[in-house]
Amino acid sequence: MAIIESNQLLTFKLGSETYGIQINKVREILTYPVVTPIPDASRWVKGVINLRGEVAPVIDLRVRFSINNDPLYTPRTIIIAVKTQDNRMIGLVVDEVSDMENIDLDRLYPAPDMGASIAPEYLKGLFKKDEKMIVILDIDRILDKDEMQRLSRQTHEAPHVHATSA
Amino acid sequence: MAGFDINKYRQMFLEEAEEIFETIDTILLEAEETNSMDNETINSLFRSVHTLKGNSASVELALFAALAHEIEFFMDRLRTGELSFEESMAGLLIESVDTLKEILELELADELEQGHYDSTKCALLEKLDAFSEESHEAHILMEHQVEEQKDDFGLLLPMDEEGAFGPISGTVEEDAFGLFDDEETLPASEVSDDGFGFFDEETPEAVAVEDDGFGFFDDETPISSPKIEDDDHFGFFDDIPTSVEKHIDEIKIVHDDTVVEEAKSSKKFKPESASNSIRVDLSKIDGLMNNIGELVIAHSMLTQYTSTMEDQKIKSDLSERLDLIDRHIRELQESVMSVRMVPMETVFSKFPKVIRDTAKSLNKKIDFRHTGESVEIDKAMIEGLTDPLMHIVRNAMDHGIETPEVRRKAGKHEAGTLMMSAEQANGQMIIKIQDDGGGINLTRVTAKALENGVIDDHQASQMTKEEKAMLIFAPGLSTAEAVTAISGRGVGMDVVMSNIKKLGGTVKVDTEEGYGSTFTIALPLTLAILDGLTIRIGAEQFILPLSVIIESLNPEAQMIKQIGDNTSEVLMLRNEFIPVVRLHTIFNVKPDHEKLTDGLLIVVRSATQKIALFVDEFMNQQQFVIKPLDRNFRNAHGIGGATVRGDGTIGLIIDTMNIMNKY
Repeated sequence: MAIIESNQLLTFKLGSETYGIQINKVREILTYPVVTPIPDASRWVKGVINLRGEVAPVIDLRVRFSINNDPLYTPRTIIIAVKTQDNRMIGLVVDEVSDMENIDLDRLYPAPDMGASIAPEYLKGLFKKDEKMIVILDIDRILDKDEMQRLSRQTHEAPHVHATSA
Repeated sequence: MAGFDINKYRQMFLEEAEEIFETIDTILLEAEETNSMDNETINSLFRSVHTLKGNSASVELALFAALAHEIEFFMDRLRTGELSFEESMAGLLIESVDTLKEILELELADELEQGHYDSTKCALLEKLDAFSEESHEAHILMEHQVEEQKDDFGLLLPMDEEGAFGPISGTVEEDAFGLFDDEETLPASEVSDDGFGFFDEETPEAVAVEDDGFGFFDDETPISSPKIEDDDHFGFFDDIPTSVEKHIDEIKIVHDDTVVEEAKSSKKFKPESASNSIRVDLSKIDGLMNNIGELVIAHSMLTQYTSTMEDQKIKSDLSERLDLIDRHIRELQESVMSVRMVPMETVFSKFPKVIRDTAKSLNKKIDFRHTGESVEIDKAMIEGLTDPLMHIVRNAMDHGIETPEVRRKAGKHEAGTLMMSAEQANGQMIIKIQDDGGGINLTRVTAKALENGVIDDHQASQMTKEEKAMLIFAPGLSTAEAVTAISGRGVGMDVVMSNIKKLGGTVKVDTEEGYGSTFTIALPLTLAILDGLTIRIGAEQFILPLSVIIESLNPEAQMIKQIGDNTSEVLMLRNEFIPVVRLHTIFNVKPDHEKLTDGLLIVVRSATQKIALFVDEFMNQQQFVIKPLDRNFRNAHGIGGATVRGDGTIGLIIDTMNIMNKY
C-alpha cells in the first residue's frame, strides 16, 4: 500500500547519538509525569501514563536498546508521544529533543548489520547531515504490538528491582 | 429509490418506534393480565399508534403506515366507546403490534414481499373485523372513521404517488393501480358489487398465485378507502366473510401461516425506556470524559503551582477558589459517567413479552422472575447482550422447561420458573439465567456431538460433566427432536458464545438432569464504572473493586496459620480458613510491612472461593471509569484494567479473579 512517507523528522538524542522519527508519528512532547508502573513489565517499560485520556505505556528506548541501562528520571525528562500505524498511543523516553530535519528518504544509507544493539530491522536507515549521522527509527516496527506483548514481560531473573523508579 | 438521506430519518424513526413499541407492549401486557383497560390507557395506546403511523408515513414506510392505520382505526373504535374492551382483545392487539413490528423490520430491510404483506394484513384485518361485527355497530362506526381518515390520508396519499410502492414487485403494482383506477370511476353504490366481481374474476389467478390474489384485496383498503364512499368500502369489507366463502377459507389458510411466522419472528427489538431523553453517540460521551480528564490535570497543575506561591494572602484566596473548581469538576465527572450507564432493567424489560409469546406458542406455563434491575450496565454493552440472553431464554423455554403435564408427573409445579439475575461481583457483571426444567440431557448432547464430529470417542470418554454441558455451545448442535419455530436448528447457542466472547465475557452452564440448568454469563466491566477502594502497598497504589470486598481486618497473630512451609498462610476467620495472598509479591512492590499483623487483610470473594489480600493500608473510596490496559499496551497479571485518577495519573485496578486463577 502506498503510504505517503513524511520526510520531516523529529530528531532526538539517546545517549550521544542523534536519532530521528517521522514527524507525522509524533503527537505530543511532554515532560516526565507521574508514571504508574506495571507490575510484571520489563525494565524498559516504565509504566503507564494518561495521554489525552488514553492509558498509554511509556517505553524507555535507551533501556530497550541498551544505550543506557540505568537512566535517571527527573521531571525534566522528555517523553515523545507517538501514534503507531494501528493507532496505539505510546510514550517514548528520550534524552533530549534536538530539532526538526528535512530529509530525502531516497538518500538513506542502509543500516549495517553488524550486531549493533539496535537490530537493523528496527531502522529505516541512516542519514548523513553535514558531519552528523541521524539514525532513523522504524517506530512501527519497534512498537509492533505482538512483539511488545512478547518482550515486555518481566524476565524472572530480576524480580524486586524496580519497585519505585522515578 | 429512497431519496436523499431518508435512511437517516428512518433511523430516527426506528429509534422512536422502538420506544413506542415498548410502551405499547407494557400497556397491553398489563391489560391482558388485569383483563381491563381504562379510557386513559386506550387513549395513550391510540396516540402511540397514531404517532407511529404519522411518523412512518413521513419516512416513506407506506406499507407499515397503512397497517398502523388499521390498528389505529380499531383503537379509535375502542376509544370512542363503539367497541368495548373484551378479554381476548389484549391478546389480539399484542399480536397486531407484533405484526406491525415484523412489517416494519421487513420494510426497512427492503425485504417485504407484497404477498407476505398482503396475507399478513389480511389475517389481521379479519381478526379485527371479528370484533366489529360482534359489536353490531359497524355502520355507525364507519362514519366516524371517515373523519379520522381524511387527515391521515393527507399523509398517506402523497406517499403513494411518490412511489412508495417501491418494495412491491412491478406486476402487482400495476395491477393494483389498475384496480384502483377502475374503482375510482365507478359510482360509489356500485363499488362493492364491482369490487366483488373483480375479485371473482381474479380468483383463477389468485389460485395460482394465492398471495397475489390477496394483494388486490388488501391494497384496496389503504389506497382506495378515502376516495370511495366509506360505507361502501366497509360494506364491501363486511360482506366478505359471508359472501365469498371460498376466499375465507383461503384467508384462513394464509392466516395460519402468518401466525407461525409471527411466532418465529417475535423480533428482537431494542427499545429504550424513559421518554424524556435524547440520543447521543457514545463516542461523544467518551470525548467529554477525556476532556474532563484534561481539565482535572490542568486543575491539579494549577493547584501545585499555587502551593509554591509566597504571598500567603493570594495563596489562600486562590486555593479556596481552586477547591470550588475542584468540586465542580468532580460533579461534572460524575454526571458524565452516569450518562452512559443504564440500569439492567432496560435489558430485563424486553423479556416478559417474549416469554409470554413463546410460552403461549409452546403451551407451557412460565413464571418469569428477575432480580438486580438496578445494577448498572454500560449502554455500549446492552446491544450485544440482548441477543444472546434472548437465545438462552428461548432455549430454556423450549428445551429446558417441560410441558405442564410432564412437570406434574415429575412432581414439579405446573409452571416452570425462569429466573434472571444480574449482579456485579469481582469487577465483573454476572448475569444468571436459571430454569427449573429438565436440564440438559448430557448423554444425548454427547452422542450428537460425536455424530457431528465435534468430538471423537476418546475425547468423549475423557470429558467431565461440565465439559459435556459446554458442548451445547458447539456449532450445529441441537438435541431437539423437532425443529420448532423457537429453537432446534442448532444455530443459536454457538452464536450466544461468540456474542458473549465479543463482549469479552464468558458463558458457563451448570445443569442437573431433572432439575434444570443455570447459565452464568460473566462480563468484564471494561466499559463500566466501578466503585473502588484505593489500597496502598509500599509506594504504590492500586484500586480494588468494592464489589469483591467482604470485610477487612487487622489480623491478630493467632489468626494466622500455616500449612506446610512458611509460604502458604491461611487466615482463620471465625470458622473459615482463607488463604492469604501477599499482594506485594504478586505486584513486585516493596511493602512497608512484612508481618501480616502489621498490615491489613482484605477478604475478597470470587465465584467459589474467598481469599485474603495483604496490603499496607487502604485509603479512600471512589468511582472510577475503567479503561482497558491492552488498548495501547497489554494486560498484566492480576490487573483487570486501568483508570485515570483525580490527579490525572493512571491507577491500576486489581482483578481478583485473575489473581486467584494464577495463584
